[in-house]
Amino acid sequence: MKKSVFLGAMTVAGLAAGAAAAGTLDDVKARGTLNCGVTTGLVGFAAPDANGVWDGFDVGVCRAVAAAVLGDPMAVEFVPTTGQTRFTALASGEIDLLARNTTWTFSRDVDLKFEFVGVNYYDGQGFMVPRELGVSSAQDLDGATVCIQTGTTTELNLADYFRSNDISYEPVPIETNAEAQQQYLAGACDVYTTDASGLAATRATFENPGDHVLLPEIVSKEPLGPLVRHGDNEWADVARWTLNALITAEELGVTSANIAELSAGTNNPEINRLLGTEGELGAMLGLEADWAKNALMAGGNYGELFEANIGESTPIGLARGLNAMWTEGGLIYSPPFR
Amino acid sequence: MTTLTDPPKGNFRLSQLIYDTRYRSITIQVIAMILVLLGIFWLVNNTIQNLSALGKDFDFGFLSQPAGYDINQRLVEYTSQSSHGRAAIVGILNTLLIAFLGCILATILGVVVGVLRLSKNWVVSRMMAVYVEGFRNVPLLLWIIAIFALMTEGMAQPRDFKVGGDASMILGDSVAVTNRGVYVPGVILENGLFGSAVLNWLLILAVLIASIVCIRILSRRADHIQESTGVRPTTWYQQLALLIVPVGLVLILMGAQLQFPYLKGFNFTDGIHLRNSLIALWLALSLYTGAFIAEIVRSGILAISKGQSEAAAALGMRPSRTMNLVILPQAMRVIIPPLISQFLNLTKNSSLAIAVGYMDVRSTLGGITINQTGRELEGILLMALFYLVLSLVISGVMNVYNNRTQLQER
Amino acid sequence: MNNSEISFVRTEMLPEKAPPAKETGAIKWVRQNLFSGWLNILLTVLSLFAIYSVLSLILPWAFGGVWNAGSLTECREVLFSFYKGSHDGACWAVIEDRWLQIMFGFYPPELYWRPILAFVLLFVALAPILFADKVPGQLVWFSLAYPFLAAWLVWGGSVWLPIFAAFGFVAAVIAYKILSKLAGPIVANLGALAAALIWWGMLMAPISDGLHKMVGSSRFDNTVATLNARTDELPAQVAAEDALLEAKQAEIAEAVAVKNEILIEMTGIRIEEFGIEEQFEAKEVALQRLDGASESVSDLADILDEWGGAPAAASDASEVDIAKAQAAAETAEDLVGDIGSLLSGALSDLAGDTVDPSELLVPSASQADPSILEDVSSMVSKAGLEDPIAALIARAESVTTETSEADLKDLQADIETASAALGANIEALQTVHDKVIATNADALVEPQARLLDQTAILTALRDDQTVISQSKFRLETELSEGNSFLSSLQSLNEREASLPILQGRVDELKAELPRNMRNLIAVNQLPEGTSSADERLLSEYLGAKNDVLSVSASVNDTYGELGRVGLLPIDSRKIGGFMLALIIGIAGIVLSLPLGILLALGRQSHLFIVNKICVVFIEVIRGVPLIVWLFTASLLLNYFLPPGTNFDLVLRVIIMVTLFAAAYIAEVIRGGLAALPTGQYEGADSLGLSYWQSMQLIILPQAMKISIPGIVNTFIGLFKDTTLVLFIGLFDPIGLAGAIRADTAWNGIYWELFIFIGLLFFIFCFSMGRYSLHLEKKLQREHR
Repeated sequence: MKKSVFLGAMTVAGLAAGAAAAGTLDDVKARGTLNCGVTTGLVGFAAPDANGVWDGFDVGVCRAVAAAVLGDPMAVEFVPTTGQTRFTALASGEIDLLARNTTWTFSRDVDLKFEFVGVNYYDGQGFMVPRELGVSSAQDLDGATVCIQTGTTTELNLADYFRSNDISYEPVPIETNAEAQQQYLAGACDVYTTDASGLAATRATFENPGDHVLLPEIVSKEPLGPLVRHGDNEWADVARWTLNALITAEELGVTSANIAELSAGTNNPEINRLLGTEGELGAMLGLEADWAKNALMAGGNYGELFEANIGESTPIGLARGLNAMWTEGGLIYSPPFR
Repeated sequence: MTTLTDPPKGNFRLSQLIYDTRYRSITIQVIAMILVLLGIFWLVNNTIQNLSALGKDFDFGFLSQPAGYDINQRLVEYTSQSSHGRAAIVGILNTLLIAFLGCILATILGVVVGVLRLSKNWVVSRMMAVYVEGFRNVPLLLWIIAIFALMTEGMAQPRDFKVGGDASMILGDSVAVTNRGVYVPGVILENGLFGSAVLNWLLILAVLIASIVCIRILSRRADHIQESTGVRPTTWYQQLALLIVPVGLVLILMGAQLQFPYLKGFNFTDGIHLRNSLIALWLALSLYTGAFIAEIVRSGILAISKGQSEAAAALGMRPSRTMNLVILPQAMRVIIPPLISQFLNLTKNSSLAIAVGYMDVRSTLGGITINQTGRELEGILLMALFYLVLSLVISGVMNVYNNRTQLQER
Repeated sequence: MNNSEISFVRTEMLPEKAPPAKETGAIKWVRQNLFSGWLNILLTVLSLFAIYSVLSLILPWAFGGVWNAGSLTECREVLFSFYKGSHDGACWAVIEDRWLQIMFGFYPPELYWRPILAFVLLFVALAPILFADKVPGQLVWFSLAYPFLAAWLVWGGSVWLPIFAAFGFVAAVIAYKILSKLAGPIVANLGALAAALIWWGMLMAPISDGLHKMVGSSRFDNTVATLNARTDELPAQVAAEDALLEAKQAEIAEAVAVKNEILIEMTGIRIEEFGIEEQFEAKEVALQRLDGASESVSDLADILDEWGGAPAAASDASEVDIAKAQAAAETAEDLVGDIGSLLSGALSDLAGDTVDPSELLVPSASQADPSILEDVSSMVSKAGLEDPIAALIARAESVTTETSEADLKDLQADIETASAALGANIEALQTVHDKVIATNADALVEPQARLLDQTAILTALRDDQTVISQSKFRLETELSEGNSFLSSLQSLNEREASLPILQGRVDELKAELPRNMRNLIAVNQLPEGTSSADERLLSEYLGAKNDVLSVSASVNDTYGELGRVGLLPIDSRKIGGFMLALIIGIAGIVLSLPLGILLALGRQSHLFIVNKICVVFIEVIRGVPLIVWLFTASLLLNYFLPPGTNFDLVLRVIIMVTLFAAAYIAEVIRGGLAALPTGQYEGADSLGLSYWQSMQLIILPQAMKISIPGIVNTFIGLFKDTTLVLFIGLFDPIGLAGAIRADTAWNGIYWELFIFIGLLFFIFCFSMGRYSLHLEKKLQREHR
């Protein structure tokens, strides 16, 4: 439901008083919609389609949380944020959850006072160069011109990496991925650096993807995950365990196809606890018993979300890699539902 | 408002504060003052409350912490280990640079286009009209993006300059126009008088200024002679010599050498690199503001009554001399005040540098620094202060100039 | 004199002769206007050349573009089939696909009539201001009501909300009227301000909520019943749309398959071209290598010549000379190595990646143009190219630094011969390629036409699909909103009942809380050293307070939805594109007018403090770029407002833009005030009018009239500047262009979107600018 309308908005000033302190879950329930911060557009992660319906991997997380809390994956207001405005939007209570491929770092967690609820994509900063340059390692990039997206951790990593390797370079800061892509393709920079997932996604849409190579060096750890405000532990738990539910579901083989069948009850107690047919996990979170089921119905489990939005069957074509289940050699791991 | 002075009527009564025109203005001012102060207090109080609720403080200490990011165009020394404060200074200098360059080019463009638009040549005047309307009616941001993209897509890449490539350097292998910017020869001083390059260049600048002052004195003298005798002594060769010889001597003394850019590895090295972001922003700002200045110049010229040019024609002056000696000097008086506000606009519009990745103060202090430190209140405050001071200084300087050229009306 | 007898005086005028051809009509015009002097000739030629070069770039690109395609890839396919790269033709299909989004953002398509109506009514509202003499004066009331009406149309909500908001002004006027009789203008002004603030701040919300509650409770049962019925039937409807959608998707898949078949067919026709193209690359690389080898030989010869044989230093040479000799020797050795490696590289290129001309597949093309076969047969055979090089390699192996100069010359000449042969071969290949393309082009005409038809069909199908998916989306949203509304209705009584309990808990906690903590709004504010019990108490208290607020807000919201009499509310975030630019621009100008007038009057005022306050405000606002103010709106405005206030970004931007525009409007109006002759002010004073009376009746009407062109120009500037909101995450046209490019289908699109947006801005701003010029001229005429 959409109620906080233009004039209404002024009259309910004071509504969110103390929102920064506590009670986001109650607020969301009372409001009936989840305000979720996403990018203004990043291929595969979040973009509006011709109908204005948002779609993507980060969007999937938002929808899952909305489904868990409100039982309705469509009850999300997507708030497009830029690299500059995202943290303020979260801190000021304009959004309840930020799912905008944001790197979990110490200073963001501690100094900027946010709470990262998990990692939905393990990424790292990589480099892409045209094949014809014949560069095979980032160590060969001395004197190169490098396109970077500003307002991210990328530029800090880049400065650190080149300084520690004593390589000179010329940074070309660019505001958006689309602009950077255009600069890179025109040859205004030799190298484009951003998260490896972004590089792969960008390369996939080139006219000739084969003319470009990703260098083997990954110069940073970029655990990307959704985040909430510090100090509201109930809400952080909801977001955290929704994400964990998506991951556990993949591990247990619960998919959007078989969930209806499984939620009738199974022999596996963990599945039963997850889907709310056994135990009272939902109530402990302050949610309905079938919260995880709703979250899973929204877009499927972690693996399904991955495959549908950025996986190998999509134009972006990312391999699971680090983001495979821990049982398959990846890092995606959820604490047990118990 | 003119007020009638009533004869004083004995003792002061409280109601006079409202009804008596002598005291009423004081009442109004006091009330206005109180309302404004209340408003400010309300805002400040809210801010304090909000900050403390978020657990933040108001502290400029972040300016001395290491910035951690690199800046490509730096007029003073800066590395990623320098402080946020220094990054802000680098940004401020870049803003000043683009504003300065932009104002000059915009003025030149504006005057040329404004005059050409009044040309009798139909094709030229139409073309200028298309330029002016095209730039005035489309957002500057679009022009900046378009010109930037045009430069990156239209120019050759550095690697095309390799042997066997499609592109080659121009002007006798001294200038390379690439899609990363233009590389022009630079001057290095082999044995400067001072250790630091900046001081050496300042010395040369001082010599140049001294020469220009001498030239002014020379031409003043020529004016005097012309006024008293009617014959103007030929001074152009003296002026030229004064301009070139001292600076040339100093340069030779310091062992100045031209340094040509050449392709090495991924990029050109040596020489001066005018980055694409700088050129694109510069061009876009100048073309955009130039269109507005052209209109100002045109209306300034049209404001000069026709009798002036007719009188000049009657005196047998050529059209070009009429324009230079009769029309433009008069038109300047009409032109300068709106010109000032265009300069201010250009300076403020330079904050759109964010669209092309030019590292101005909005991108360093107001962009990356705020983003890395989370000090948006302090950062934006400092940035707004900088722009405010800059605007006030520009309008102050230009107003002084304006007052000097303004016709003393009687 | 007419009757003069003198014969040499003409008695009648000769008929006028036609002027020479050079001096009439178009020729004269051209001579006078374009070629009147050398400078003019130069300028004309230069301009014509500039125009030609720009148009020759843009026109083929723009008119050779693709209008029907579902994605950039499809665009490229079509362009490729027409012998064009993606840079040689525009992909206008993206505009076809997304133009509505660029105009309206994400506003629901079925409600487009609301913003359009608001836009049309704008002109009605402007009529009394712009054509005061031609329309009835009563229309001014509509102009005053328009801002409220437009906001209601765009954002929706209950019909009384805009009325209540407007009533604030009515309250102010009433308070003023009453108080001015009792206590004079100062008190009356303050009273009016207070009345409006009290109405908006304290009375409006409860009254509106009360109304909602009243209407809502009477509707409760009915609504629940309808909602139940509706949510029961909706899933079936959604499923029906789903089926439709699936059918459509199948149809599309079929059409895509047909399209792909056509593409494959075309590739089949062009397969010969591709085969030949493959040969080019390898041969060109080989050619480069041969040239490199020849260069190396000549360099080697130069070095040997310089040193008179293998570089070696004399026995008595200095260290420097020895070093030089060594370097030269090394270079020579390197060159010797290079010659061999380059030659063998060239050979392996040719051997590995090229085929003999006889193996070139040209059968189908040669049917149409037999000369192709002749060309092919006249080409040097593969062996004919390779053998000389193989021989050269053998000779190059024997090359050392001792080789004589003559031998080197010989070798170089032979290499050059081989390279010339290869060059000729490439040229012949090029001729064949051109001919094949020419023949294929004819054969392609028919499939190209079919491809275009097929893409048009596809576009039509996709449009259908969009319509279906939109209606499905609408139904789904209705279902999800209906369900959540139902559940909130069901819990309504419970929530209402819980309110007093919650309030009681707050009071209880408040009583327990130490007095100095009662005004705190966050745990963070506690002084250091506060006991953990107190801290817990405070956080509980804050939580309880928050519960009360959010529950009462949610109750009000539910009643608001239940008791809504009016239009469907639309969230600000749904507004984007040109609609957003227009809303921000128009709202900025309209709302800033009153403030701008006050500021202008204040800046003209003789009251020192008032004057200085206005000057500082105007200069501060004008001295700082809009983008900084926008960042203030998005990052800082929340700090400046009472804790917890949180209203949406569009509203914050409108507030900031209003303040920004007010400073500029103030300067425009100040210009208007200054332009009035002093006699007007003196005349007003001499009539004994008070300050406000003289302003209202005499000065402002005239000053405003003079200022209208300036205000229009400010509006144009502001409208263009609204594009900056993209930097704070709002979807203005340029921001939307970014979002569209983030869609996988359109990633990589560039100029098309920007040209479309630029064109729309141009049309709008240009016509406004012309209008303001027209107004200026009209004013000048009237003043004469």
